[in-house]
Amino acid sequence: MNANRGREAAVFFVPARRAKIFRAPRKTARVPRMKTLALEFSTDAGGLALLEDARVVAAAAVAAGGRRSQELFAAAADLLAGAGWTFADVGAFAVGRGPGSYTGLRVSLTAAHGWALPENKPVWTTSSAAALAAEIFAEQPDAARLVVSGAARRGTIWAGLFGRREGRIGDWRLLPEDARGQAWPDAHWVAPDRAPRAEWVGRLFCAGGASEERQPIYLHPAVVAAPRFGADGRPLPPA
Amino acid sequence: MERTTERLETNSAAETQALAARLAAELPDGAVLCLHGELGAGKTCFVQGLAKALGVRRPVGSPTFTLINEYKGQRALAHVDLYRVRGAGDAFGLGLEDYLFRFGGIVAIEWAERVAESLPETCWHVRLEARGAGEQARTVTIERPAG
Amino acid sequence: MLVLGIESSCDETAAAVVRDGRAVLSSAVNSQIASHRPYGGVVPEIASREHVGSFPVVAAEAIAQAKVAWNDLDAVAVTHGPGLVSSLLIGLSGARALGQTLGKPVWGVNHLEAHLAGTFLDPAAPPPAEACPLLVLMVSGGHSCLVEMLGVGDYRLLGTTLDDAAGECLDKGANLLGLGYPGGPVIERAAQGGDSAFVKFPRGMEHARNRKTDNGLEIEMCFSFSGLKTALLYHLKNHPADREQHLADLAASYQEAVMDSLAQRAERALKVTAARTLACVGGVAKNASLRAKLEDLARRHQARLLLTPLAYCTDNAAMVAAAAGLRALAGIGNPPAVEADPSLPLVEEDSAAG
Repeated sequence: MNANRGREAAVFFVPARRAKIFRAPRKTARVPRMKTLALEFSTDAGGLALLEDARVVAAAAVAAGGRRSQELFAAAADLLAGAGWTFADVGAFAVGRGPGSYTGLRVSLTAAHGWALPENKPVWTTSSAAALAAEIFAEQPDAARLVVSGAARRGTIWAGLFGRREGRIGDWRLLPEDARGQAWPDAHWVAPDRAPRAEWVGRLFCAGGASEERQPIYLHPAVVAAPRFGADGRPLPPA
Repeated sequence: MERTTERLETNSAAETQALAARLAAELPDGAVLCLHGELGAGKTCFVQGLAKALGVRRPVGSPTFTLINEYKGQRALAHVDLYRVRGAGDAFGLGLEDYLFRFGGIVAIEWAERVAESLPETCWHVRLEARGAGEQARTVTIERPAG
Repeated sequence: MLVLGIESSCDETAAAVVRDGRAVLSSAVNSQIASHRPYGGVVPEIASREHVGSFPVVAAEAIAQAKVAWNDLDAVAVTHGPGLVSSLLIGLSGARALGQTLGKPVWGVNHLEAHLAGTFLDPAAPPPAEACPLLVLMVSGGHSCLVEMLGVGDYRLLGTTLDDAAGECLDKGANLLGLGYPGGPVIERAAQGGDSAFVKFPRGMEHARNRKTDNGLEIEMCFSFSGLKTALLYHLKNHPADREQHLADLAASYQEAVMDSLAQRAERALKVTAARTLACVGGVAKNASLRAKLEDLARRHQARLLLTPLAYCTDNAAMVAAAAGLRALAGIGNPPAVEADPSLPLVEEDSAAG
């Protein structure tokens, strides 16, 4: 379903010195500390975080769901000002790319690109579900496998299986709603009210678990069947 | 609660629009209204009646080019026309998600059966059928959601 | 004054740099027509997805082509309506982020006013103050209206479509004729050599003297295309062989009905307003038969005709930057870009009757 799987990869607990196989910039003795602005808007409980290397300096919850997507801009300005930073200080942007709310994901990705463009700063993305999985793995030291899920269209959910060492295992799946907690019986299902957080998007990025993929994760293709018209010019009845 | 169905007869476009206006007063915010009927059955005419009752002052045409037109009035109206998309229609693939589940006003969808699988269960349905000899006479069937 | 314009209201992602509202330094457009063609029109979800991918590319290209530095910009101007919300939001978010990081103002531009400003991108066009009062026929896939421009930012709505937009009517006709998408160019091509008098299609609202719409517009200056579409549908039903044997004639007759109805309304407006200059903007303004009709009309009424350069008829960002630049230079300023408004009017509805 997603060509980039594997890229977000087994990074949750990869030791830092092995992370060089990933392309995320890393701190070295001579490089100034990397300041990152992380964005996570795959659910209505969105948020922003500032990280200096892998340390979260400040974070803010931003209820920018649906029609309030533009509140992200004021929230970003406030968060930076509160930390005594400006956009010029930010060296990289890390964005959660879903799965989740299309509007939130598109607006946050595009905002990051807009902030990054003039100085050609890097914009990195990671799946929001992987960020949530990383957070839960940190909370539950005994968990080996987790399932992160969310609402899809009527009566269905999407779900992804994550291993502590392996990262995401297999593809995203679309399941009937009543399969929640049933599929992958050995894995712990993350409570549906837990939303991914920007802090963990940032941490995942700093651990090297991000890619340059520019699009949100879409579990539904933007596809409709081509229209067909009968000989009289009328559209044919639906299939 | 069961869904309820009501059959009414109108004799002119004006009567059909008056019926739409009465229905508008009944529709809660966020209501999704599916319009069914052949080409020329008067679906757009019905939406025009709805729009007027919602306080929309701009003329309302068919959003065939963009699929979706939004109007501001005393209450917001989103007018969706799926005439040119057929089969396998997935509301998510069309960009209708925000309208079906997050729109604050009234959403009226022509040819809604083309995304039947994606529609919420709480949809309202209106079927328009030509009746008798009069060019504008219609049978209007209104199906209200349960509860 | 150097303005970066951003446009994403429908199915084109565009960015452009314009100096002082008239000099185009760059204009980058990523057209999505090929992606939407199989569906006979724009699919909002496809449009929005493509905007996300192309916004950074197009914006960077506009700056590179213009050979300016980001910090040379005085402002970012972005279309904030009318259009598709899911499309508008992408340009708006990108523009706001750019303005925020550059420390420059971000202005919201009305897409229709931008089309109008496109007229002045022709170096031969007079300055707006000299051209006013200007009668503008605005015809595109999403919009059809007649506007009197009294000055920059000062518009009076004379007429509008009561149902479909002209471009939409062409799309539907092309679909019925099996010609493809977008309708305007495919019908124009098919109509070549056809007999435009083969079928006399209705022009819509032909017996509307002295009647007004609910919001006070003269029906004589309004358009109606739904009857035309239905007439073609019934003609094809009654003469199924014509689709094969008289395709060029049908296309020519249909196109003639659309363009003639546009020109008729423009002529009525020329008669009742003081405007002595006529402009035509929007995607349909590319149509050669419409251009010829308007040239003839201008000649007969001793009016000056301003035709938007072909490159700026369909959606682009040069016209967006131009609109913002013209307003700023005229001293009336631009509103900040805050939200996307899918139904943003050019003229406030309450004053339409005024």
